Amino acid sequence: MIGRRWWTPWLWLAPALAILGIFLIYPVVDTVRRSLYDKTSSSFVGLDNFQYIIENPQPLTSDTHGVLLNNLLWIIVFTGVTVTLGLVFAVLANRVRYEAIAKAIIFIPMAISFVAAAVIWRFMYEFSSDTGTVNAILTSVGGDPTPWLQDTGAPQTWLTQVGPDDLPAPFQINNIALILVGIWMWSGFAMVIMSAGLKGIPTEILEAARVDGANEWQIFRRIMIPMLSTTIVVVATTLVINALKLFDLVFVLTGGRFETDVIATLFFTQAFVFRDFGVGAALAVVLLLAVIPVMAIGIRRFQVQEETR
Amino acid sequence: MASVTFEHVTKRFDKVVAINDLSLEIPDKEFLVVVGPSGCGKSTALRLLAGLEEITLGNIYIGARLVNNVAPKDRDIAMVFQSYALYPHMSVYDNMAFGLSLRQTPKEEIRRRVSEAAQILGIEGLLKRKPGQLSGGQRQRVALGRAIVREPAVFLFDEPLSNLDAKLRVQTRAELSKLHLRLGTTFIYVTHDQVEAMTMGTRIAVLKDGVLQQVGTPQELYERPDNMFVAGFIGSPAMNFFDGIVKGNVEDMFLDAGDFKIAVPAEKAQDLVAYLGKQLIFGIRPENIHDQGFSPPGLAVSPVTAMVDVTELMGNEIFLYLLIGDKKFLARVDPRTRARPGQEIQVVFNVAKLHVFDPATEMAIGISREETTSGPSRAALASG
Amino acid sequence: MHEREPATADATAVPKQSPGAAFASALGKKLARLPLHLIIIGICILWLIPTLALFISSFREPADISTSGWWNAIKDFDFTFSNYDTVLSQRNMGRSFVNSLIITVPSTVLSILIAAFAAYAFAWMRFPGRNLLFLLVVALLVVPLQMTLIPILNLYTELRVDKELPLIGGALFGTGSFVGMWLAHTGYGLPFAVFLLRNFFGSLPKDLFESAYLDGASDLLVFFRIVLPLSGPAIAALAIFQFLWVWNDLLVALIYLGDPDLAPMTLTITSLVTSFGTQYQLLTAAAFVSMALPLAIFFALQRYFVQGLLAGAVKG
Repeated sequence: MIGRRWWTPWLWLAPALAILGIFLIYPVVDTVRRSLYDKTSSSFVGLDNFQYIIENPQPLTSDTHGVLLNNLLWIIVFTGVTVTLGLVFAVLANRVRYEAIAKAIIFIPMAISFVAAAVIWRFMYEFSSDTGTVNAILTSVGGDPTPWLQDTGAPQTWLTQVGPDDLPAPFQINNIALILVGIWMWSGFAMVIMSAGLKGIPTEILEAARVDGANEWQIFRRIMIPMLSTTIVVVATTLVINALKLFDLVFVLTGGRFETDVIATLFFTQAFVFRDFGVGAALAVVLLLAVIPVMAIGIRRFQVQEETR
Repeated sequence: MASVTFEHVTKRFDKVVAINDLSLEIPDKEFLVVVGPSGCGKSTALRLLAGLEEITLGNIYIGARLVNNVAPKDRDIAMVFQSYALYPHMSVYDNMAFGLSLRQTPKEEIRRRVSEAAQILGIEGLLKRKPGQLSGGQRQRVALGRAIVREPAVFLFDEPLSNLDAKLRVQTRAELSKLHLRLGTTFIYVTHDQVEAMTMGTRIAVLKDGVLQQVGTPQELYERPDNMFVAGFIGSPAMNFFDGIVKGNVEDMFLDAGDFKIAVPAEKAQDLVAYLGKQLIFGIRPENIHDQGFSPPGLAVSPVTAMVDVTELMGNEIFLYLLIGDKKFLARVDPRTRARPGQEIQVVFNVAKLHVFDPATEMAIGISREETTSGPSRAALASG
Repeated sequence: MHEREPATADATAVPKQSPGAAFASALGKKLARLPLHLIIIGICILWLIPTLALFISSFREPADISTSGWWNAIKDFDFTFSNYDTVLSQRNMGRSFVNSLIITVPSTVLSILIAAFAAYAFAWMRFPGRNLLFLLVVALLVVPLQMTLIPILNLYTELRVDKELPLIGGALFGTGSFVGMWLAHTGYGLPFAVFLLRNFFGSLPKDLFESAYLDGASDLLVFFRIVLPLSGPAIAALAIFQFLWVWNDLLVALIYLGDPDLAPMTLTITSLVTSFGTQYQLLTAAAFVSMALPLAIFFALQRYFVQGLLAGAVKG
């Protein structure tokens, strides 16, 4: 606009940029620096820390490869199931009159703190089938109680004896148990956003499809899903980023023990418990690098949206 | 009250040239309509004038004042937007008073101006309502009112009628013309609708791809279009175009269009002598093709046999979609015609109204220009 | 000309049904939808069970909790408030509630204000590098909180200003200061806030701004008198989101505050968890106490929450 001084935008941006610079950018830079230094960040060691992570000679509190695989499991299973559940529930809730209440119920887990959620699920996963809800349900249908959070056996063993007792990491019962908590918490988020996207589909299109003879499943698969693709990508991207950053859930429920450790919890233990800032920082850098392609996809999508503005 | 001058104005958005060397003089109190198809640059020209976009090259003057770098709010202009741009959270009164209150106009003065404008527009009863509670036509009036209270030197309109239904549009057209007479201020009005242009403007400027095609009174543009674009754009239904070769000599000239021949009247023959033997493009408006049996007397006409393809009954006239050979024509004929689809009919072309264009340049041949496109010079304005 | 046929008297009349047939068809329609209702209600119950379990357990005697599941409680109907009594009468429960408020409210207000200014600049001002800078801000969403803890902790330790603040307590700046908490939470919340608000501001009609500029409004005026009033839902949603996030935060308080007198509720309750350990009955009550306010806010304002999230996240 004519008449606006060149420095005006920068004035408006200054507080935000300053705070971001201090609290987010500076730490990233500092962490990258530390990843190239030793434990106490006093002497330069180059890429030693990264080598350590890759070779994993003496496992740290957890085996680094296992940790990365755990995150991968989270990315695939957590994101996949949450997105699907969110979508399905949005579509179902859309058809009933008590939609608002149903949606609110699914969304509640997002409002509570991680500590509270941890207590809730510690309770649910109790080993004793007298007190632990899940095991109680299991025994009532004839199964054996399982120590959900500690058991590293193959996931299907909680139900049947079929199949191997042990699958390679990360396919463990306790990982799945943790992921279930994550799904419980985040499905509401996915559902809310999908629901909005759903309501953005003009009803005429759906009616035309019905007149053309499509049944509900065909409409769902061939019209709704393609029209919701942007929304799905937005939700999926957010969830993947959360799967990579994941900390609180794992930290409070298992502390990363029993082979459930993820990058963020391992970083925390290394940095704050063992005071090894070098390897801890290197892990954090690995996390950042893993996130970059995800951001790139999100950004590209964003730029496409921008063209139409 | 001020004149507006565009002096060799060019506007580039990255690589795209939206306005190309536009020079236009708009004297004070004129109602100028800038018209053209989508993307021709008319809205851009308006926004340059308003200061909502920056000029790449050239100068814009409001009155005698150069305003290239003057902020929009200091240009003493008011604008009515296509979507009205009313502040949804403010009442009609506050919407209209907003600009004035920003300039610290005393409350009494604001009240006076707002009620006066409301009265002119017939919206006194709506002052307490919010835009969301108004109909489209009412909102448009509020947008107008907001511009009027500012008492600006120039009014800018960006397609203000396009969101109204047809009936309301016709009604509002007349009211805008009346408003112009009443306020006596310069109106610069942008639209894609040539009917609005013809009915409202004192002068019309036609734009295409950022280039000014012609500026003149509605009559001039209708009777003496400078080029094919203006000829085809102004007038509804549009002019019929066809190819033909000029043959014969000055006394006895005719054009050979392959499937038919048309005699060329003496006045035009003069200009076309230089083009003998060459292929040219000819234009004739539908209203100048008549059913031979019902053509008005005293016209210089040339008969042609045509096949009727479709007829449209318009009430006071009939549209005939004709085929002459493989060329298509539209004719507006007397409703008493006996023409029926599939039948042959004798029509006559009013050759006095024949337009001729050079195929290479698309410029009209044989126009006597009484006015240059830039109007009276700025020097004349400044001294006058 | 044409012959006009008399219009049929009742072209839209539906053939009459007997009342019995009408009832049967309505019932049939409802039954066909039964599976749908069952699934939805089923999922809702499934989702509620964990929370419900906790809620019911919090009202049970310690002996009951360690021996039988919460579902028995409904059968036996044996409830008590003693758990809540113990938890709530912990020495610093009241104080930590106030602390939570002191930390959360200013953090929320500050982050929204700063984000709004930046969002307006990104949405409606033109300047070189605008898109790139915005992408950078959004990209910062991926930085995990833990990564910032050590550097900022060091920074805060070094910059600590010991002067005690009146009324709210805590140091003036650095570790163990509320000011430090406000700034840190603002920083962590900015990327999302700027993203959300910028998208929302950008969706406001362009000619609204142009009209205001033409009328003579400065940027500041447009911001306060046009943009903010029209952004109610988005700002409300952001406020709720930020409030919940800061209120529920544990890690930031744990690392940067240190002083137990300044601890917010999350910290206090966590220390209860560690000190009660296997005394589940108290744990459950404590967890529920910490959930009370967020849940209340959520239910009261969930309409805005959802609305605003959408305004920023889904476009077109």
